[in-house]
Amino acid sequence: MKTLIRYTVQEFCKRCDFQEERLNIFIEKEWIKPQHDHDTFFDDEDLARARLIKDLVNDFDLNDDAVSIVLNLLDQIHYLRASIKQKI
Amino acid sequence: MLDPYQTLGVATSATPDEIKSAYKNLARKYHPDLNPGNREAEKKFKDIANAYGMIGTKEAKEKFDRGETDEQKQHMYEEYMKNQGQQQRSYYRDTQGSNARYSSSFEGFDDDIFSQFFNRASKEQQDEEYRMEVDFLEAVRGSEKTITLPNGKKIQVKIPAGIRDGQKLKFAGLAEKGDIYIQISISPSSEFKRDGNDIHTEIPVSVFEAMHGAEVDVKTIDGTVKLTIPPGVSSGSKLRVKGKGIGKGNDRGNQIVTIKIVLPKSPSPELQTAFSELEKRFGYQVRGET
Repeated sequence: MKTLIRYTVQEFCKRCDFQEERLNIFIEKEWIKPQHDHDTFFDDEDLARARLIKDLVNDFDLNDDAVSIVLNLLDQIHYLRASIKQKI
Repeated sequence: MLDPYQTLGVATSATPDEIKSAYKNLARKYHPDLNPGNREAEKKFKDIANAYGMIGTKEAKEKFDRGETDEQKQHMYEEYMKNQGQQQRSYYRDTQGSNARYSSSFEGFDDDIFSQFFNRASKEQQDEEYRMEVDFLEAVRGSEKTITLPNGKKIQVKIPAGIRDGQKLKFAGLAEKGDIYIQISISPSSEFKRDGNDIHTEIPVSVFEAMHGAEVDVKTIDGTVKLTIPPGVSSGSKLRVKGKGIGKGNDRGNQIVTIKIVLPKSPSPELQTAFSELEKRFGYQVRGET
């Protein structure tokens, strides 16, 4: 079930325990895609993804290219899992 | 006091680099996003993350070793260890349901494979298959039978004339959740053999009938017909009864009748003498010159 929580840039960085510069890098690399209405905001999905990226970089020692590949593959797996669940 | 060294599997004398390395190894192994559905891995990952928070830096470790660890932090750590699982970090995998923004960017990806896979799978699960035995004449002439399925339902099965052994008849929508297939198994006949649309039979004739010819009764799938045996036929000669095979109209096959000359089981001495006399007068060569 998807929650409807919105985080501002500041709240988001605080929860991720990193600086805004790092978030900008994540956005620039299209790892994180913020949503916009009159403001830029993030949700729980973005938060979990940003924390995962942090783990991949800090704990797994992955470089930027590897992070992109891992995210892409994980997203494919999640899409397939969700599709299978829907069809069963 | 709960021991973060034990959680990370390092000695109290471990250097910050060794602690970091131990933490990384464990984090890689137990990361919940790489262990979907494994609650044990999730718990373990939380434990090691908290333990690393206690001794992960030089300063934190020194403080912890001197027993000067921030009381609040230690209290939080111990509370966490007591109430494992209640402090929830939402992992990426938990956010990726059917309406997720990131993974849904693959919408349409391999949809064809999915539909083929699921259509086939559901068909296999829903269809029911049964085997029905019919005798040779029922199969070639066609017939109608009522069968009772294991669930008590009765089905009227019309067997089309000329059906082949192993052929399946489909009854769409008659299963609980799909179709019913009846596979026909034809029991062999001692009199008739099928070869395509032709039917093969044998006809025994006496040596006299073979010699001077005769008109004999031959069984066909439609009943008995008269067959003329020409004079001088040999055993194994084949005669054709037109249009008495399988099929309809111009496609209907023939019945092929093979002549089988039969001698008396126990020829009398008189008969043997008579044949010897005949042989003397009319003997003939049936094998090539040796």
